[in-house]
Amino acid sequence: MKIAVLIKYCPDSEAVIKVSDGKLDTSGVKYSVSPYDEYACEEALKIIEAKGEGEVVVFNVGPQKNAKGIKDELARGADRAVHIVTDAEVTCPRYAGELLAAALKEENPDLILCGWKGIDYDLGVTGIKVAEYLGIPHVMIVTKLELSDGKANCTRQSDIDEVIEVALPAVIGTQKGLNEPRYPSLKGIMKAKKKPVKTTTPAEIGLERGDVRAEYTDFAQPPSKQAGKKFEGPESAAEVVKLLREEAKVI
Amino acid sequence: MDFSLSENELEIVELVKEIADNELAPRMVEIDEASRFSWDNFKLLGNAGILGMLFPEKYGGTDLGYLAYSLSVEEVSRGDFNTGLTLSVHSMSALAILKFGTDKQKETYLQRLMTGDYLMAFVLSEPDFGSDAAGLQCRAEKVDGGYKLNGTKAWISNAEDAHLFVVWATLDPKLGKKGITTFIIEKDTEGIEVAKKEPKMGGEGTATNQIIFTDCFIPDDCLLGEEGRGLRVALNSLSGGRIGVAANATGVSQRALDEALAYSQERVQFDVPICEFQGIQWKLADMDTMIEAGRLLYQKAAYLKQYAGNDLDLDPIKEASQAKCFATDSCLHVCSEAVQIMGAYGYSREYPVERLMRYSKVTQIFEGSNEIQRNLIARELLKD
Ligand SMILES: Cc1cc2nc3c(=O)[nH]c(=O)nc-3n(C[C@H](O)[C@H](O)[C@H](O)COP(=O)(O)OP(=O)(O)OC[C@H]3O[C@@H](n4cnc5c(N)ncnc54)[C@H](O)[C@@H]3O)c2cc1C
Repeated sequence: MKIAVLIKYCPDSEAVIKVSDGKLDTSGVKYSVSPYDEYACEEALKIIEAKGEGEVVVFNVGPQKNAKGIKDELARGADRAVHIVTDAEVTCPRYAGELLAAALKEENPDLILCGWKGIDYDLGVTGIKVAEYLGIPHVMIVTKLELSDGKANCTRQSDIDEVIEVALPAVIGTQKGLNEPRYPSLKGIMKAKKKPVKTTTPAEIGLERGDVRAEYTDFAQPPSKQAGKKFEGPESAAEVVKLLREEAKVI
Repeated sequence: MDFSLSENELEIVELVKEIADNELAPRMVEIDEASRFSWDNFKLLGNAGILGMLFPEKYGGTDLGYLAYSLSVEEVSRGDFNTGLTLSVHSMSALAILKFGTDKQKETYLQRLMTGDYLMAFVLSEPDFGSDAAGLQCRAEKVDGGYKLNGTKAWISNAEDAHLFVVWATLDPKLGKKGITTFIIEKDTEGIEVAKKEPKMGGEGTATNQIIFTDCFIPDDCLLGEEGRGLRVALNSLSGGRIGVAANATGVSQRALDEALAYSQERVQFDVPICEFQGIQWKLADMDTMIEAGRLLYQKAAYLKQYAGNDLDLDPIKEASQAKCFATDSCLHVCSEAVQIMGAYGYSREYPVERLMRYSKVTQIFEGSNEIQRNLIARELLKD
């Protein structure tokens, strides 16, 4: 079985992103693989380990620096990787989806796993776009996955658990709770260097200009929160009600 | 001398840092408070490959060498000093098998020791022979097909949790140093009793016990190395162990500084964070300088130990002692200063630094007290 894992290399969840002149300032920010994608990679590794055969192939679109993120997943145990190297970060998920779908077509995986969203822009679109371009089904926000001959049973957890059955290949978007991602091992780190990473470019794929329909034009820091107000004693109740109505406009 | 790490080593130390921050540090207080060995932490080190850093790949090791190893001991210790100490003692004991063991001993034990399925303890000290370890009295009498052990060992870290002991005993006290011999013994061998746990000042997450051997029969193949050459095994193990303790103490010091540094930026007195007082800044500066100096000393010793390889004549006895002595003396001082900076909160058991301070004291005592380290350093100086 061949499982593709799509990963995004994002500013770390603890990174503080600044905005200057309407642009994101990521200088000095630590990057790591988006945690949702780590669930995807872990699930892929577990499936292959249980089967005892097959391979896990990591896919990424983005600049050269993303090689570090790819290597982290190879160190965790993925077998090889395909890196579509771009000059700058691809912020349009439609375009990222197009590029990934083109690379995936060549590999023909039996299953595609990805985080249901990236922790950077929180869009949750790329995986869906990949499925669309490949003409295969997708299920997002999956917290339990069971495979049986050519099918995947995916559980989506909300107030009521939904179980959705899809035919493979399909794109499954993984959510927190699916598994507990492992740390790479020291051996894994040492081996990762020798694992094959195929690099390609949008030009080689023939998609130098994708179907980009939305672009980020401006970023702004949210206004800093005003200090809270404190009211004490029952005698302030009337004042609180008045402010809730007139200032906060919540009642 | 070049201590710079390869890209590989850097990534590995990064990973150990991450494990220390995310997995070990949050549980440090809980483990020490519960006075319980943390199998979770030990297995975590095994799974990551950290227990195998000094061992060849053929036995399941990762063969990364002393420099990356000692930096990892520091990181693990910064996360949880008990686990860091266990990592050091376990590695030092297992190394004795690698260096002095037969192929059969290596094949039987090393793999299990690397994965964390097997824990090892270092069984040298006795109630009446601590610094003067060469005077030990535990007897290994030669009998048909093996040896019969009688005697008592004291202060053995992880004795109650370990599966395997590396034990020093004498074939006959009359032989003096020439009688001292090393053995590899499974804990569940008949005739071994792990006696009650010693209540201690600190480091409660690593139990310390006496071990009593009573007519304990062990077969010939428990012999490690040659009869009468046990002191060599002990000295070689201990020079590695001292690098480990130096790294352990440096990790503890770093944790104490990290805690005090963060606190000093938050605690406001006289309307300013206390880190704005020069008196506090100087403490922080000295703490950091001492830590850095200790780190350089153990890295130098690690570099030399790696270089020495199997050549016992090149064993960096002096450098290992200097690192151990300086890093552990610094550790008590740094921890005490951390408590001072944090005032009553530092003294409180709710915060981790008093625990670090209590533990730091023992780093000056075990694996050769710092007086003994100074003796060793002076002896090397006065040689020739
Ligand atoms: C928590 C803990 C864990 C330990 N774990 C282990 C373990 O896993 N395995 C093991 O084998 N042992 C272990 N030990 C024992 C440890 O190695 C000894 O405590 C140490 O070697 C010192 O011996 P001692 O305590 O008998 O002190 P002593 O040798 O009695 O020394 C008492 C004092 O006299 C000083 N002194 C002694 N001789 C000289 C000298 N020639 N010149 C100047 N000063 C001198 C010492 O430095 C010390 O200050 C542990 C001890 C502790 C406290």
